[in-house]
Amino acid sequence: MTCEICEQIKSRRGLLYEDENIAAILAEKPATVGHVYIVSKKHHSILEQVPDKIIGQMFAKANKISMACFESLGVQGTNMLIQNGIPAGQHHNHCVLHVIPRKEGDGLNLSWEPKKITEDEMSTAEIKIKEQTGQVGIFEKEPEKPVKIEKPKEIKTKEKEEDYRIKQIERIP
Amino acid sequence: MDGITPEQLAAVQQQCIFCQIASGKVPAKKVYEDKHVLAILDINPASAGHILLITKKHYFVMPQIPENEVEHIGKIAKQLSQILLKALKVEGTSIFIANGVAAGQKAQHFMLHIIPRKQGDNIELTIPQRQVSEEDFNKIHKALIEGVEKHLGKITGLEQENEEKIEDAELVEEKDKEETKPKIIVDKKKKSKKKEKTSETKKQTKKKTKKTKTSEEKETSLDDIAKVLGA
Repeated sequence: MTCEICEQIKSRRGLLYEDENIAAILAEKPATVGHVYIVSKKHHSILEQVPDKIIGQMFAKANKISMACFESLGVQGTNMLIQNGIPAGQHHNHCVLHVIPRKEGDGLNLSWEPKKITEDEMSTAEIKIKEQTGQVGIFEKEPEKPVKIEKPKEIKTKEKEEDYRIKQIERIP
Repeated sequence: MDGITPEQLAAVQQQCIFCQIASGKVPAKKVYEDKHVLAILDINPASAGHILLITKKHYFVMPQIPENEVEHIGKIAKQLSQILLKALKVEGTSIFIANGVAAGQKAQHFMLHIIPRKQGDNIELTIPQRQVSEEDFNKIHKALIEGVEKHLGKITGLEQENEEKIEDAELVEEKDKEETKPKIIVDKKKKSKKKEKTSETKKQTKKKTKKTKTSEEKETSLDDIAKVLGA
């Protein structure tokens, strides 16, 4: 299955920023003027698959791009949003951090009605979440990059070649 | 916070409910805490388990936060999202930030929402997808990339590749004039080159009038873009 986001990165269409891990692209179908997708260059369908370090970088770049929106597009605000999973409204088969520039009266409504939940429900949620938060703040370690070791053979032949040349030069009277 | 005296900051912090939660003066249902951030349960949740991730230091909006802290916030948000999926057995999460009143920011303190999601939960966080013309897409890109370059630098390796593409395209144009796509790229590049020239040298040639025309054409205000998009 082809991924629209991967295709767009490949084609460099609407590319705003790119580094080793991350790309920022202009949305093909924007919610507002200047809607940007911050994505990992490697294909990750859901947030959980994106390495911790890259998520951190995505937020840092999103913040910079949000600043650029304020300055270049003269907007009054920005929303950042990750829709993680289809029930959350995820459109693409690629984890996207949306940066959505906002203006007063732009017709976009990203809000929610507070849900009435009982004190018991609150406490249950608190306990269930707290049980799991022991590992929060411990981040995935990056896999070590293999170190390229030069083959000693090549060096030897080089030396030999040099030696040969030196000998040749020395032979010249 | 720029341009604010320590006294003023202290006054802000005293009024800010989230600063008081962070310092422990006001109780809250804390689920995670470290040096930089605090995660609490929202008292007006969109759904049960709705987490607010706040900075311990008082920042009004995200652009004020140092880069290393922003990265940290992102990583913690991902981990908390994972925990919500596991602990509450929900099918998804929404991670949401509002910067500025126009974006729906209500508090005076930066926060990131992590909202547990289920199918048909009626939480209005859907992002509309609007159509945009090719012309507007390019105009917006042009307007935005200058600002992005200021903050993040030029895209490395892109220019070189573009140059190559254009060379290819010119070849194609000569060979086969029916090819439309590469032609557009060529035209754009030529136009931008012409525009650069006008600002640099002003020679009294026939070409000059042509050049100024192209530069006029290119200048389109953002309001125009907004009109077209109907935003």
